[in-house]
Amino acid sequence: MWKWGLMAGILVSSSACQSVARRPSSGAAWWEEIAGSESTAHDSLASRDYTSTGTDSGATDSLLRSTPPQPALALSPPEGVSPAHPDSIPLLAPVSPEELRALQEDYDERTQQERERVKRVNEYVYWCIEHGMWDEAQIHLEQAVQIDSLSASLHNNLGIINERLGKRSQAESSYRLASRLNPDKKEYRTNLRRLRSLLEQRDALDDSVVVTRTQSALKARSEDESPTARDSLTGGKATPMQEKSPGKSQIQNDNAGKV
Amino acid sequence: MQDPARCYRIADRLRSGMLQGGLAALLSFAMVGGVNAQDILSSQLRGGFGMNKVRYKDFDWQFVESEHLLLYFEPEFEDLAEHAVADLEEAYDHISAIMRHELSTKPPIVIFKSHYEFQQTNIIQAFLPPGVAGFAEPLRYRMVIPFNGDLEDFRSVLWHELMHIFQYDVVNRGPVRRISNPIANPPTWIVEGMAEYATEGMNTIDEMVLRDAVLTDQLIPLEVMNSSWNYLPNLFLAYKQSHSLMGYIAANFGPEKVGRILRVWDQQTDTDKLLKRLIDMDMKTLDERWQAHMRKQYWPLLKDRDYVSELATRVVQAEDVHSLYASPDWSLGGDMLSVLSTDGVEQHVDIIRLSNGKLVQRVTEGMRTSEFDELTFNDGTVAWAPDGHTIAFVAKRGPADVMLSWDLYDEELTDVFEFEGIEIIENLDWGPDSRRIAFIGTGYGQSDVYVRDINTGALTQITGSPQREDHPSFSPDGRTIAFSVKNRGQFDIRGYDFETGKTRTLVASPRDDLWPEWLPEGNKLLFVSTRNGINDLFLWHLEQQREYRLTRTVSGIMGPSLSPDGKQLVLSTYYHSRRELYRMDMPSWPEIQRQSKELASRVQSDEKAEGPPIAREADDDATVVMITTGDTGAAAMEATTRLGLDEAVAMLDRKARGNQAVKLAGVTESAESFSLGDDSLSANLVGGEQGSELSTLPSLADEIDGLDASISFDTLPRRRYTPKLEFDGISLQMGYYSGFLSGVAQLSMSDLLGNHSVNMFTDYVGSQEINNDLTFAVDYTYYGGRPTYSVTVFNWNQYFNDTSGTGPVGGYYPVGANQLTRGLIRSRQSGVLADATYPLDVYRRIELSYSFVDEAIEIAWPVNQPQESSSTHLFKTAYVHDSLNNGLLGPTSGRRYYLSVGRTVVLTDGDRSFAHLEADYRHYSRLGRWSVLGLRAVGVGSLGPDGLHYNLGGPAWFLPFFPGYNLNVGPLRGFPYSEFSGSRVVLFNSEVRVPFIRNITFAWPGVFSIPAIDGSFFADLGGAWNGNQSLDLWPLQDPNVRTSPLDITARLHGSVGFGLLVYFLAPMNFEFARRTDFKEFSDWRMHFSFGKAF
Repeated sequence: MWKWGLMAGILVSSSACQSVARRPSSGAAWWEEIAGSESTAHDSLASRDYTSTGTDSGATDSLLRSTPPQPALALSPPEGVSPAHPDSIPLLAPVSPEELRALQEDYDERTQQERERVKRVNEYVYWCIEHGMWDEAQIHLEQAVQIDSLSASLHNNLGIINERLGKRSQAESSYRLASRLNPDKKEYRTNLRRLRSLLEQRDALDDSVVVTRTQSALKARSEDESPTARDSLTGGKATPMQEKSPGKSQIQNDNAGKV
Repeated sequence: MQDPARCYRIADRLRSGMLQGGLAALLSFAMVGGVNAQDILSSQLRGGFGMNKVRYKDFDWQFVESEHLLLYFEPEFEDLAEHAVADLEEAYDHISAIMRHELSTKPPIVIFKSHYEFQQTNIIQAFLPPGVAGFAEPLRYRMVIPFNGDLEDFRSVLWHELMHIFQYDVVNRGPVRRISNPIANPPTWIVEGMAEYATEGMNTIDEMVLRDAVLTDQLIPLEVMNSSWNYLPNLFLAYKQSHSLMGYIAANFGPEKVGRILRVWDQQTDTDKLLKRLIDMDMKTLDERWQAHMRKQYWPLLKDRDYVSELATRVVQAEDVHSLYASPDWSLGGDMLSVLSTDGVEQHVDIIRLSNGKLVQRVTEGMRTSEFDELTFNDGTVAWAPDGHTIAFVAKRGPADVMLSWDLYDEELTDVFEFEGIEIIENLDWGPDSRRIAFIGTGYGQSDVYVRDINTGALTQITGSPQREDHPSFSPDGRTIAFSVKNRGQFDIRGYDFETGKTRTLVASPRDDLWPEWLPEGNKLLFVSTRNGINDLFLWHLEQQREYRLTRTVSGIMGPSLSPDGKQLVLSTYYHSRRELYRMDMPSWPEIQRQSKELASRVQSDEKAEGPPIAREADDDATVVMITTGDTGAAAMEATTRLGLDEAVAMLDRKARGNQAVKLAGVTESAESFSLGDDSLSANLVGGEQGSELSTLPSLADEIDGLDASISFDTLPRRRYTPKLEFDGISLQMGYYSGFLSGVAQLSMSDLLGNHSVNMFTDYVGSQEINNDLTFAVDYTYYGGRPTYSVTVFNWNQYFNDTSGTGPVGGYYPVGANQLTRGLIRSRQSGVLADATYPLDVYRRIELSYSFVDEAIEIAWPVNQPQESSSTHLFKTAYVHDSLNNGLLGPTSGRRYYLSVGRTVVLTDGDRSFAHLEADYRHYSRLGRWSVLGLRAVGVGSLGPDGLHYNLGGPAWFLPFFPGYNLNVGPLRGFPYSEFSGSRVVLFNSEVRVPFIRNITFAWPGVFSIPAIDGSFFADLGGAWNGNQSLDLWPLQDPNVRTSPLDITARLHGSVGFGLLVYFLAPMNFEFARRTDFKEFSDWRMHFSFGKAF
């Protein structure tokens, strides 16, 4: 049997995590709580060099695993958006020695079997995405993150899926968590930087775009049941960011070489 | 759904199964040719393939004798036997009245408590597939029926098969007990239609199939049913049509016509004349009128009912009637479905994409044989756990079903659950925490709801009554489990509360209420109800105590499954003779209310005719439930304890006898509840809250109330079964040829249960030259245990014309051949063959045998002079694996192989000395839906000074009337039959078979069908050589140069070609081949042969 108990124990204590299974289609409270409550602790792990032992060190446990060259690992920003300099994003936060020690112990407890398990979840998610089943992939990752919140790759992959589904804020949170859990992984930071750059563009957009976006989405829904269009409708208010985000084909192309 | 092949057509198979011994078949065949010792030894060495009928259980049989029948049963399911006797006696009276006939003898009826035990019967040697619901045979009037978990179905099959016994008795005027003359067979649609007519009416699934055929113009023409029953692609529909036709005859021409039909029929009468004599109408007219009647009955439904396709989107459509997608269950994210699928060849657990129905993963790929015998293809035998990565499914392994757990992340089987005492597992449903799984288990002669704790392994039995339970469904909070339970012939929905251990009725109506599914909010139940005789979706609001109709369909709905978020559902329906999966959006609550009103208003009159759903009185039924459709209607929902005291004690006793290790949930409370005195109990039954609880109990007593009170099972004479050999049949033939008079007798005996079987073959030959030569073979086989044992003693004489006058060294031919006779040669072979076979499972077995064959060849006339003699003591062992799927024309997928090693022992001078080695491997890969690539490699070596010689050359395996068939190793087409011979043979075959035609019916001359025509393209490569030769593998033998057996070097021979494989009464092969060394090609040679392709 898998030894998920310890990880689950950490997470069950967070009531916010228990709501993850309900898959809210809008609003970010649930995941923001996760990020907020765990960010400090996870930041502390960044000081450890666990790339040689952690699950996240391997290339196969991430949706980005099959991307051959490093520079192409991150999702490309839309045209006209310059990626921010990596050093300009603060990833680490201070943590107390006690917290650090506790988390280190927790991390050491992770068995090889558990790491393998994370790897398999990621492979399954990858398989889902290969077949275009993004909802399925998302819910499996959300469930896995509930059980093992220390896996950077799970967070990163969840970020990719959320971004694909138009949930940019959730995606940012997931990227941020992934980067903090494994700061050595350039792909995670690149994803975060790129998405933040996209989010910064949101403020610059005119409100009138909202109307355009809603109309476009309605039209898209009637023509194409794409997850992006459906989410934007069922999720309620469309955001200017969604309008400016890469279109469906752009996202697919971006992901085509990466997943 | 009741299986179409509910009644095994045993009459068609009796004679083929009668000669079980290989030697008897060989000798029978040899009547037209010659058989030498090589053939007999070779038949022992090369036993052949085939799956095993594994006898897992040591049965303990008793029987009781009632007024009209003998019933054989095991004491462990005596309750079932009691039901059976009562049902059968009632059926006897009913059918006797229909047929106006009394049986000439008491039929022996054997019942099994499950299908898997039924499959172990030896009364018929053929393998009984999962769908067979029972059979009756004409030789000794034996009926064999398994219990499938539902007493109503059991009763129905008993009635059906008893009607067949009456039919045999009317037609044959007593048990047949003969195996040579044709057994009279009236047209199958008449026989099966009468048997269905004798049972109670159609259920809604039967009607669904028939209604669909009428509305979609898929009815099978009566002429086709009459002539080609065995090749009909949709046999289930044929049964329903036959049933309906018989009902039509009874309704329009009088019920007495049904009883008269077999009296009017005789073997010389065709169906047209029979119908003319019976109802003054030919077959075509009857068909036209019946179809018109059916259209008038069903077409008006289109006015106020919807096609499912109007409400929902098709997920996947079966390609043809052979295909099926069943038991859909949702993935966690709602993007996929797990389904049971079959394409008519293989059965699998598949994951399909919801959006387009395409296969994305095959869970059971390659599992068969290594993990289980066969997939259990029953209702709800696949369930996707709410954790999203576990899929449970059910398969038969050994004597019972096991539940297997597949992990999608690990892509492997993680658990196999076996349950002692539970033989059949159906209707899986996971708890919301994925740590419990509920299912319907059938064992000990009844079906119940069980819950298994995945972590602890604890098994809890939720119900314990004789009624059929179905479709358990966990509530979203996991505290309650809803399930359908049959009560007095119809299903209601009840709920079991895990905290209180009590059961209460949730939904009850005068019709069946099935497949409960909880909506995520936990206060509503989606279910299917058979109102107006058509399965439709309803919703029961538990707080409002009110039901809402969701659909009003033409075809009907089966097995709805809600998505995890409750926003969609998949369901099955029947359309164009195919079962299809549809996806439907679950309406919102306001929409449900609006829709229900709209559907109700559409046909108010119809609903009124049906009766308002539903108010039933306590004195009418054990289940006291008041349900109304009015807004203010309130239902009395009684919490119930689950078991009566007597019932609980009786059941525990049964469990104890069966050593079942299960925890009986809530038994303590139940027992306490019933610890009241009789007076208290009576008082409670009259009224009061507690009384209501008690009155809702489906007690055993309630069930037995339905039994014939005039029959007291306990007083019937009961005896233990002891085997006694009786005649199955006998065949006598006399012949005269070329001065020889021959009397051939075949005789078959067995005990009633078929565990002991004796076959005898004798051929007394007399002529002017010789007399009193008795040829015989006696074969005894014991099938009563897992290993089977067989002993054959034989003395076999054959006579040949000596054409050269030099005895056996020269040419000699079978008597009767057109050669000049200068003498008469007698070949006498006698000996003993002993075999033991141990099946490891259905697919694998180990064989051991000892053979002693003494052969003497002598001149019998004009002088009596010994010529040659030899003896052989041969020991053999073999390992056989056969997991093929077989089609009409040959294997369709899978593989088979055997390894055989034999060695003779020299005890005296003149004994043969050789060793035998053989390996035969065949693999069949599917190329698309029906095409097959077959590959075969075989090597045979008979090493030693007296080694056997095997032949090579010619078509697949059987040329009519060609002796020595068993020595031909296999097809090497393009060459004359058995052109090559040697003690060593290698052969490689490859063949692609593609379907040309499936199910073609011709109207002239007469109506007949050809079920399959395939084309084939093949390449063969093989060679035969002796120990004093060497084999050169390359180059191949020049196709235009003949070889001599005296050549020092032997070469391989090659050929390529094509063929046409036709199934018309039997498989026939027309093959055209050219010899080749892949440089040169010979002329074409055509072969004709019978038999399935290799």
